[in-house]
Amino acid sequence: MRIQHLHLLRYGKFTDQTLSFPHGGRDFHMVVGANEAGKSTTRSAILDLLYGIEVRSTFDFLHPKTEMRLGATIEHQGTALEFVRKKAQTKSLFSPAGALLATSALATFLAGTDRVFFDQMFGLDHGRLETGGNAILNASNDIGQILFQSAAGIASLGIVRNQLEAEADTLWAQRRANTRAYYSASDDLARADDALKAVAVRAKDWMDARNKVQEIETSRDQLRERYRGFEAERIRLERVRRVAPALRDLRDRQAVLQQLGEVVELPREAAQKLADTELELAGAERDRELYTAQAKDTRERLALVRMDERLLKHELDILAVSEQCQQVRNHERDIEYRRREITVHWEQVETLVRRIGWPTATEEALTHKLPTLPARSTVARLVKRFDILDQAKQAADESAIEKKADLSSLDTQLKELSVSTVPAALRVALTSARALGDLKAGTRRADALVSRRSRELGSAVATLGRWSPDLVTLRGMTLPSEQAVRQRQKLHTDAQALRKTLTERQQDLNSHIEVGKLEVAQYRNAHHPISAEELTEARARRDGVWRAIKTGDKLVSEVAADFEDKLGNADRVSDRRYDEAQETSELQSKLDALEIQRQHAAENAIRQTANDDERASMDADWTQVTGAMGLAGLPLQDFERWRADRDKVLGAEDALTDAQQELHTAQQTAQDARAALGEALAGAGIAFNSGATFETLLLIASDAVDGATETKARLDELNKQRKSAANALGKQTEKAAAAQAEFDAWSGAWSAATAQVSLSETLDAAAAEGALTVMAEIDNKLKTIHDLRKLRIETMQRDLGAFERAVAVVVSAAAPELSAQGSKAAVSELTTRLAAALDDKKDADRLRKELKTHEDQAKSASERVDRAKATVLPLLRLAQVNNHDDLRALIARSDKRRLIQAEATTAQKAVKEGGDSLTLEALEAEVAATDAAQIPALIADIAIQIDSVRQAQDAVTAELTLATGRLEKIAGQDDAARAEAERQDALAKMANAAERYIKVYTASRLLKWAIDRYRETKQGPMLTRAGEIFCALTLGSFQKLTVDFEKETLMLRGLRAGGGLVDLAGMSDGTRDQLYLALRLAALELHLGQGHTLPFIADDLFISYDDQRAKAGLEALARLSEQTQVIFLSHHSHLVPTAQAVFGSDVNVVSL
Amino acid sequence: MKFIHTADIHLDSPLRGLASYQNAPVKALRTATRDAFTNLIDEAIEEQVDFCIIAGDLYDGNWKDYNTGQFFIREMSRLNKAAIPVYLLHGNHDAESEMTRRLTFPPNVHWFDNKKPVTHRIKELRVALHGRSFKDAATVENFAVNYPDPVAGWLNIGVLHTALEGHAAHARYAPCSLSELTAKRYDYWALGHVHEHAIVQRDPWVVFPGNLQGRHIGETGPRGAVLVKADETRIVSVDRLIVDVMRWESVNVDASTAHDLPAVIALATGAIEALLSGSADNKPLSVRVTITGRTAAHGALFGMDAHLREEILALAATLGGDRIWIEKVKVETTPAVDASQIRERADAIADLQTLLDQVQADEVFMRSLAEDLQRLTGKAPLELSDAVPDFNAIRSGDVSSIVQSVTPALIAQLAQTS
Repeated sequence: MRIQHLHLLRYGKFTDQTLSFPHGGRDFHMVVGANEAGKSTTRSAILDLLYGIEVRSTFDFLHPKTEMRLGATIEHQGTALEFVRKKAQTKSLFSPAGALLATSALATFLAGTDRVFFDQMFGLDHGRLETGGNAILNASNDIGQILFQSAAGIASLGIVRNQLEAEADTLWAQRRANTRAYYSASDDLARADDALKAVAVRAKDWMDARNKVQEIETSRDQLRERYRGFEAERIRLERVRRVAPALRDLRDRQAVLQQLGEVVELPREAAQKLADTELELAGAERDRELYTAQAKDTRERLALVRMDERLLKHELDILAVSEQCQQVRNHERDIEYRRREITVHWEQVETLVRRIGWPTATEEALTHKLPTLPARSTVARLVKRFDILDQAKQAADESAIEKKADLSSLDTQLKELSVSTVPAALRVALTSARALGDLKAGTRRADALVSRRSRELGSAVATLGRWSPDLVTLRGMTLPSEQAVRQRQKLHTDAQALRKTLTERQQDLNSHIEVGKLEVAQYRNAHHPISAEELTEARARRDGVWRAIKTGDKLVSEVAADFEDKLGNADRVSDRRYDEAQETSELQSKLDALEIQRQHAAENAIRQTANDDERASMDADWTQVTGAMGLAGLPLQDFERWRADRDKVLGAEDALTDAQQELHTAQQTAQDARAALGEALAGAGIAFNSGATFETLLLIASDAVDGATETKARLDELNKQRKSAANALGKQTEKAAAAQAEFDAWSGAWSAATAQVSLSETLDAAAAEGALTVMAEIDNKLKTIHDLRKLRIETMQRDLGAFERAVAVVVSAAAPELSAQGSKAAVSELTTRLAAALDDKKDADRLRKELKTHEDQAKSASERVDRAKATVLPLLRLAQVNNHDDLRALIARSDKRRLIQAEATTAQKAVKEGGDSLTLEALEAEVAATDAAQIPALIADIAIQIDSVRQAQDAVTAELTLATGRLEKIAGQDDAARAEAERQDALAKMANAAERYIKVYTASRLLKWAIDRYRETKQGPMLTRAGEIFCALTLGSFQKLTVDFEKETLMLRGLRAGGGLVDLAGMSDGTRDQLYLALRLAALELHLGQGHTLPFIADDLFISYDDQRAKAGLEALARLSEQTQVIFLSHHSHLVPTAQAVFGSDVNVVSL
Repeated sequence: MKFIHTADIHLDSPLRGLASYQNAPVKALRTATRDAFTNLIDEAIEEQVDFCIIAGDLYDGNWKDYNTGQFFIREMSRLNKAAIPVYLLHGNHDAESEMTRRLTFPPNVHWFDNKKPVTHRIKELRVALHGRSFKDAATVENFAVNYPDPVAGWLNIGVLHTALEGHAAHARYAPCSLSELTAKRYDYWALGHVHEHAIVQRDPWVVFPGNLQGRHIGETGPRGAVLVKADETRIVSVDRLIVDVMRWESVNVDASTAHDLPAVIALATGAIEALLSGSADNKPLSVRVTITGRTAAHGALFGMDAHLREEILALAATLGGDRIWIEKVKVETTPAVDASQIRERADAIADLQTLLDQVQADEVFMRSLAEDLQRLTGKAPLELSDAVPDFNAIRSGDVSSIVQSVTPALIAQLAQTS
């Protein structure tokens, strides 16, 4: 696949820019631009074009993601496709016309490759060169890895291998380490196993524990019984000691009661009650006397108080007139003030009357003459209306005059306009002719296309060379499939590569054999060691003579000397062999090594023969295939190129046919169009030259039709304007008449209204408005004068009259002697007298209250005396005596009996409480039977016994606690279950580690195995080609690349022109980068020989090369450009001349 | 009348396959089978059932810790206090347990004899329970055919530990057919042994209650017993009684649309969120996450297995807190680009693939690989063989299946690497 045009429509900084990559001699294109010109953008654009714009694309800084667009024309084996790529997850491919293309539209062009593959295999930049150079240095011990990394464009194969090995090592290895996941989990498992063993309980353990508990419980019960016996005796002795004194007290009290005999039982509180009563009686009698004396004194003071009852009876009336007197005290002065105000207002009214020209009159006459408010309002409304009506009337008149002038102007324009028409047939013919476009240019383009297609067909046929049958045969040929040919080529390439490897190997082996032979010969000459065969031979000769002697064939005497000679020789040979055992062994070792080399050489020779046979068979088969197709002699490696050339020939033929057809169609169309247009012009009566061209006819027709159309449009516009002006004039005339009528109506109303308000009808509106204002002012003043008189002066005069009458009434009722005084003086005197009467009344009320209190207190003291006497009366009756002294003696006797009885009860209670519920008789018997003196000694003895039993009990209890604890530990705990869960946890971790280890370790081993095999099959051809490129890139500093097969680890080395070998570590960084480039280009060439071709994108590859090396690099790319399209991006414009020197002056250079 | 029918309690047997990590709810789930059993007893007391049936496999025969028996007695004592009798028999797992012979049970516990079928009668309820315990673990005799005839006019229940027919996943102990059970004319067959809940038949009822608590990823979904209600003559209803304390779930993440690891993690996020939102009862979950599908991320997943697991664990901690324990992250994807497409590229990767297709013919390499891996399996405990299926292949010396499964992943990883 190759790219013809790349359209950067809306992508990155680009807008509608096209880069063209036409196919010249070699498919090399140089894209030059300064830094930031967009080279990296172009590289990304090619990736996005072919495999879709990335979701997180960063090239949306100018055009938003939704508008990002790329376009291209790409071609593959004669088929071209023009398309547009938009940014979308699906439906991103479109035709240039905007039709959606299927995602599979690019399938044949991309042949199943993906973005990563294309970028790795067909993309290279300076950064990757450096990374690749470092990577092959890191992999210097592994040629397979170097070859693979270079071929696949993957610099991280080593990283993948290392990761796999490192991960496997963290999971498991033979050497135990806690850092490895498996062993860490294994340790957990061991710990969990131990824990499980420690906490798991067998059935027998539980039985033993339970039996032990039962045994101790039996001992504990026996001790408990003994303890109870001792404790019972101790309690009995304690009881005797406790109750014996109480029993004695009880008997003594019972004897005293017996002696006291019959007693009147009086209440316990009788003595206290008697004393309290006597005390209360004395106090009450003293109070009664005191309160009686105080009452008598108060009664006497009350009799001395005198009050004026008549004044007190009229208290409220006197207070009322006093209040009225306060209210009217200023009225007379206020009345005088108001009368003066009225005089001032009237003077102002007279002035106003004179201003409107009325004669002087009285207040009443003036009030009657003043017009009513409605009449004045009517005149005011008409004044306001006058201005509006006057302006409306003037405006309507002016507008009607303007409209008349407009109408007259339009009539004049219409008369001056003339109208022409064209027939419809001419319009139709003109429209059809215009739709055909530029017929002349179309025909010219079609004619040029036919010529170009013819040349292309000729060129294409020429590329077929001597395998060029006629076009019909060429089209009808049946060719083997591309895949089949590629498979053949791959087999052929592999066989060739193997042949080369085997040949080199054979040469190496032969060389080693010769060296080995020389070493054996030299060693033999130097040491003359005896071989086993020589010893056997000497012994055989000795034994032959001896056998002849034994069989009697020879006499001893005859051969004795010969036998001795052979015997001696055999012994000497034997001695020497064993004396020189080390040399012999060394020689044998060399012989063995030589034999192994020979064996390897023989095996290699067999593989060579098999390889030769296989290649011969493949060649014969291919010869047969090409013969059948009539293409005898066409090499296999050229077949795909021939197929592509054939496809181009057929494509070119198809294109020529299409172009010829297009030319014919264009010519016919032009002829038909001219005839139709001529006929229409004639029909319209328009004269034209019969020899005029289609374009001339088109111009005449256009002028005629366009002129008629313009005139018609002008006429329509004027008619429309006239109709509008006539309508406007009518409306304005109506408006002027209406305004005049309204003004006339106002004039009538004005005459009537001025008469109503006593003004002249000739008075204008402004003067009338002033007269109305004066009238309103007069009206206000008259109203003020009226209000002062009615509401103020007359009201105060009424208040004064009412006050005088009220005072006369009160004086005649309460103090007639004051009737001669004035009202205000009488009121003052009455008020003073009333205050004195009220004070007297207050004193009398207070004395009456005191008297009542003293009388109540005296009565209460009498009642207390009675109650005290009644309190002691029941006791006297109970004791059957009449006085307090007798009663006191009986109360003392009763109290003594009660005391003795209480003491006896206390003693009885003590006996009962300390007697442990035994009967009185049983206790007396128990006390009688016990020697009280012995009790302390007996109790001490028992305490010792109890202490001993308690100690035994404590020991048993501790033992029982221990045993019970052991048993209770087996009470369903979940420790073992938890330990088992931890075991399973550890096992799961071990399983996870093991499972992953198996995968990772296997992957690591497989990768190593595969890389070794890869090296075996690829190293021959790839290193040869890479060596050539490397030689060129280093300007011959290195001759080729070599591999040392004798080392255990195969090492890649460069052979210096002078013969020295340099390993990778010995090369400079720049040289190593060149080596990586050489390997990549070699791998790419090999790949292109057997795989689908895609454009190779090189981005500033020679950034650190000098001119000579850059030229060498471009030459390496030149070879690649014979196999596929190479797009070389660079910001070094100085490389352009170098490129022209390599590719020719017409090399395609695109500037960004 | 109502009773609980349970079986396959396997007390104190551990949850298998759960490797702990920092945020895993480890401690809460160490005693899951016990806790589930306690839940069941709580339910029995709360529901005030008339009796309980345990149809075998109370605990595992090879489990020796006497505490398990004591725990069981403790729970039975709770039922005894609530006056709930229990009828139980030995299955294949507890037939030979020493604990079975030594334990002293409270009076509410009634065993079925292991020599012949016996009938326990509950007079006040007019219920007859027929059953027979296993004497040996490997009992292959058909017990059901010799069960007694039903007691006329009573509710008859058959208690049996059997694989029945058609449960290939379980050992065929005490085999019998459904028609043989039907022919007994009992009202209800209380079966045990099969760990999945199943109402095999409704007339008469033949029911497997399933086990109380799932113990490994093969036992997903809710687990428990059944609550059976009956009147004097027939079974009225059979309802599940879910008592498990944690649940095993399998989450499938279809990575077909993912191109790299972050995209796979994003898909896994959605899948785990869906699992959590669909699980209403808030129980802890033990989850196996299986990544499937034909995906461009196949190579990345192979190369970054440990990273993937760490990401999923962190994800589970974020989304589920201490509610989720990731049992395993299993990658079962296939490459987006198949072998024939790789071959078409005709580059070094394609060459590598062609070479690897021939690796199994290299006997020396295959033998060497097998011997290397046998160093691992040779020292590993036998218990690991069940957890790592590849162990059997390695021990037999045939590692071709391992090579076959690793090769495409390796190719995909290399093809992705740039």
